[in-house]
Amino acid sequence: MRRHPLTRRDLLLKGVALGSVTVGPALTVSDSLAAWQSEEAAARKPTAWNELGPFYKRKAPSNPNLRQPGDPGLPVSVSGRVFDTKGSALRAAKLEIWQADHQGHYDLDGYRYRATLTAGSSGEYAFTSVMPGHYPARVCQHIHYVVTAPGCKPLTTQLYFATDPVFEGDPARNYTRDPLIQSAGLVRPVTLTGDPKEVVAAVSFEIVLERL
Amino acid sequence: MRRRSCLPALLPATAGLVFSQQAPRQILEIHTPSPVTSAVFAKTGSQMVTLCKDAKVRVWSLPESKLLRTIDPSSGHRVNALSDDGRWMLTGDRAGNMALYDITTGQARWQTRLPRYPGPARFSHDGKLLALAAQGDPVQVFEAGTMRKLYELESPIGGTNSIAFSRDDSRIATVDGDTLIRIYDAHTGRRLAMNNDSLVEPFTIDFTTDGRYAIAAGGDKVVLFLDAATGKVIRRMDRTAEPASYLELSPDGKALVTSYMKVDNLLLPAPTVVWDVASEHRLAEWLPPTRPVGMSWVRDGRLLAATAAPDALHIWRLH
Repeated sequence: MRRHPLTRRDLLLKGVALGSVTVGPALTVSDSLAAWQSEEAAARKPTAWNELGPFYKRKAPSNPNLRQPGDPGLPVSVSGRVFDTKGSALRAAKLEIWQADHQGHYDLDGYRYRATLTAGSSGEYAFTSVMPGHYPARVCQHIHYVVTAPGCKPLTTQLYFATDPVFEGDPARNYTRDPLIQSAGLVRPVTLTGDPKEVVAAVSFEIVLERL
Repeated sequence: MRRRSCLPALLPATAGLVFSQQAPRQILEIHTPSPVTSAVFAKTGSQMVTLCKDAKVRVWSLPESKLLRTIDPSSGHRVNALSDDGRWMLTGDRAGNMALYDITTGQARWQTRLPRYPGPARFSHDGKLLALAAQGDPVQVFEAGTMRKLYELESPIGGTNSIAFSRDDSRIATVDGDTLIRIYDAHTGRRLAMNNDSLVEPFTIDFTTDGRYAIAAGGDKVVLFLDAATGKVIRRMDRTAEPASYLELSPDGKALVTSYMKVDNLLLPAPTVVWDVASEHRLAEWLPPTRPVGMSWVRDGRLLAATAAPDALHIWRLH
């Protein structure tokens, strides 16, 4: 006989029927189910891993304005929220980010285009920078992330840009042109805003950490 | 250990070869059926393994340049480690498929799959242990004869960049993505010492011949000598213009080779310098014509390097 795996909903109903799950007086079974289903709906897939990259530097300053006035290159603002896989916002998650400048140069001697950020009460984070240039030993423009939060598995990953010419307008199809990108989800859409003379690129990048 | 002199920072790259006390020179040209992408010298100095663009591994005798064997690992495999005696070779591909080959027969003796593509791998000097990691994951240490997993080292964020065994194989040192240098007991995997002086991640590590000190270098552009028992830095060489991507101490412990990387373009060749360990004088400096595809000291005290041309491999003696 073919066996079907039980869903969490089935398990809950069976548990109630067997008395192994007790529902408090203020809750009906349907309330509990609704709560569970709501949690299931909020559940998120963990952000894909990407390697650390060779130029991580610790103790980066906490200034979210990586772009200084007058810096050449396309201004970019990156924002997002940090969650765990259950969908809970991770307040005070620590994000270390670093990138090359608009010409693809990394600063090892100082902290240009490097920052350590702390997520806000809703897990939100944001920083401004410039669109990183193409680093000669890599295929795609990218920003490195190390994200840590208590009770969660640390994540190293990288953010890529759907506007990168390497993807020829079709990142979903062409993301593997960079052999380090193993998930199309790391390639984020870019919204261009502002005056034509002062275009700003905006990118949203949500981070989801696995619980330990 | 006491530093005896101050040296200027690494000079800007100079075109051609720069000769000092010993002149690096090309000693062999081996015609290859396919361009070589990596070359690994056995410490015996009598054998070399090359990986070619046609995805075949070729085993050569040196200095005869005789092709001893061609091994055809699955497509996409790279050579990750070679035992000092040249008998065992570990290969892996981007999917994390790993294979351990007996070079004498060309047969794979063990295969496994890592969760992702391989990071660093290293055999102990006696060939009895094999330390390897998937990129970003903790180093696993195996008994090489049986490939029984013995233990796992700590799990630094970002994984491990390089692994070294002390000459007597009693200790393992790692330089890790979280910028720390860790030293372990190779019999148990227990951490003995740690150093967190680096701000940018170190890339390369070795031990002094007596095992008392570890030598590490990387993104901070400085070579550190650490007490292997305490992890404390006991000596720093002068800061250089570029970071070292590779260092190795000579078999007699008197010379140290450091190969540099151009941070702005890793694809470009960068200088290699041989230092006198005691005085920090430069014994040789070499600017390769193309990025070296392999480099190692061999037991008789020579420092060999390989550069690749489309149809040939050039072997250099740097010291």
